[in-house]
Amino acid sequence: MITWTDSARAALAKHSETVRQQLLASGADPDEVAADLQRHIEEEMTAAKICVVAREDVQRILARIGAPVVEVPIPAPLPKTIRLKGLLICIALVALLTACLLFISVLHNRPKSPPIAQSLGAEFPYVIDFVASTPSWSQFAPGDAIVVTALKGDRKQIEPGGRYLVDGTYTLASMDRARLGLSVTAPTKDSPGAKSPTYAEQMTEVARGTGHFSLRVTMHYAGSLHVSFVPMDGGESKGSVYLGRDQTAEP
Amino acid sequence: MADPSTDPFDNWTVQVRKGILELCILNALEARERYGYDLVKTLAALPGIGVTEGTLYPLLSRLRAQGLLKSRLEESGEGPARKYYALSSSGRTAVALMNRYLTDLASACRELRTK
Repeated sequence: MITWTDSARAALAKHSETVRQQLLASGADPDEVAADLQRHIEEEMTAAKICVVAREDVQRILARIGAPVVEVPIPAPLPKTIRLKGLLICIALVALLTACLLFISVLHNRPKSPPIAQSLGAEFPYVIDFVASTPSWSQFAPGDAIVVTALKGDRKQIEPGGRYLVDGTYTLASMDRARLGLSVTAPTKDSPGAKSPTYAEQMTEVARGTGHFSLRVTMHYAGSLHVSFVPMDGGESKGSVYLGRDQTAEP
Repeated sequence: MADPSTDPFDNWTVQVRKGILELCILNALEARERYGYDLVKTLAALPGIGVTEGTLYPLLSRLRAQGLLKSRLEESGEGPARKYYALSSSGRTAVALMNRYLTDLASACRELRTK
């Protein structure tokens, strides 16, 4: 017999409410999908021989299996004339950019070295499709947000042993400064992963406002990748975005 | 090495997968009924299909709403009640048409290579 804590029920209900309109628009029955997700979570808990579903379990499982995704309609192609104009503008911009880079290179007489983006591309050749957790259970303080725009790795998918690069944007409103960290959830607080050290490439300091981030992590154990705001003086994270598995892309 | 984010093959496979997913669900139910958890685990593990389990529940709901699937709940001694999905008569007709269409299309596509 599986028992749900009140906060676990609330987390699932809040999540279901968040995606309700999208599900309705897709032709699915939101109540039916919510019940299906509840059964799915209970099946996983039963398989793990755990009798009580906590809020963290709901969040972890939904992050892993990917929250219900509603397909975004494919935009109609632009008229040919607009596409042609766009192409010409792009060519002009690329030519201008190339000329500027060439000028700067000559000016500084620098020896040629691979650009950072190129070296990162070699280290993280795979673009990995992912599903990000919805804001309803990311537990952000009002005004705070983390949006992951790209996930790349040295593997085709998220799995232990892989290295991953996560790019995105943040908005910090609740604190003057915070640490923005990329890490992997540990299955339990006693598991080996819970005591893993945090490396500089996983963490960056950010100030109130909006900006970009690019963080890297090695996945030493099974868990969920997530990006979190952490107060400067430590303590619990103040909002996280979890990245679930989805289709992968090969080079 | 090609840039994966702009690789035309990757873009194409994403579109193909979207179109084929409903057929995969219907095919998985053609021989027998299956309960939801088992069905989504099977489909999510299908090589090349590239979907997560959570993505499939809305699709199952929509296919049921469209009348292609029917479902029933059955108590389970091992855990929560299981929701079994099966093809409706409309679903059986649809899956036969879809498989035939896909076969013909693939065949026509292959023939183009030899003409």
